Amino acid sequence: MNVLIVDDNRAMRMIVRRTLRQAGFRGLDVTEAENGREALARIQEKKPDLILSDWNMPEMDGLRLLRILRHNKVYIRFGFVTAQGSPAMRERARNAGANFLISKPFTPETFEEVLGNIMH
Amino acid sequence: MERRFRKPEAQEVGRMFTFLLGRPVQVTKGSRIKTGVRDLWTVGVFTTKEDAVVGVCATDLPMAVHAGAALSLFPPHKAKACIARKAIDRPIWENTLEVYNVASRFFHDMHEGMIQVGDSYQKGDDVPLEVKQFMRRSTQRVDLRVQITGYGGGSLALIG
Repeated sequence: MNVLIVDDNRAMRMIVRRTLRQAGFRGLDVTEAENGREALARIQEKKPDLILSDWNMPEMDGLRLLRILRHNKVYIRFGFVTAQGSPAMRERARNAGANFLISKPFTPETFEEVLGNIMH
Repeated sequence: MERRFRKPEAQEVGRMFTFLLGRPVQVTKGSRIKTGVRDLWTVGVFTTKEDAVVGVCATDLPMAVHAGAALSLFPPHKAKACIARKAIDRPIWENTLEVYNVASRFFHDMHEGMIQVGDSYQKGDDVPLEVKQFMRRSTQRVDLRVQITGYGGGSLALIG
């Protein structure tokens, strides 16, 4: 399975990678991007099965990325991994076409619970 | 509608740091840290999309450096060197900003929409008057002592 991690903080991208591993998801082909604009290029190249994206990022934020994908009828599974976890922001994410939202900070158990059905 | 800052308990902040840094972090009530311009070391300002200030996270130098270093598993001696030099290396500072970003969760009750780290400052930066006044006038604050296993301790204040 190809996974694209989008976050402007390098440490957070590393933590998401590590958490995927700790949650028991092995054998993944993981690609990274620093923002939504870079993610669009990676999506063209790698055709990921799943996108895990931060919300707040410079150049292009995660919501804009998601809207561009859905506008272009690209229905890759998309989840936010973000500090934005309020009910209002969850609703915005859902309305834009996100499949889920994982709030930072997270645990391997959270990843397992949310991603279990998608990964297996 | 004006909303009130829900001051988090020390345990809640401790859980956030433990999950974020992937190691045990002890958080207890601390003495009030000085947030005058001459004293403070780092400040993260939480704003709405419309740039209204809803909260501030202020830390002393050891807190900023230890948390920033622990996030990337930088060797503890790198953090100690920053504290000795009284200057934060850029990669550690970028991580400190991510810690602020995650700490924005404590201010989500203040606004229905997005809360973001609007600005950040280190000692010597020109902190805007609006932010100084916000810190000075607010009575809604929690001061905490944080101990990060394997790195060290520091102090922070969440001000809403």
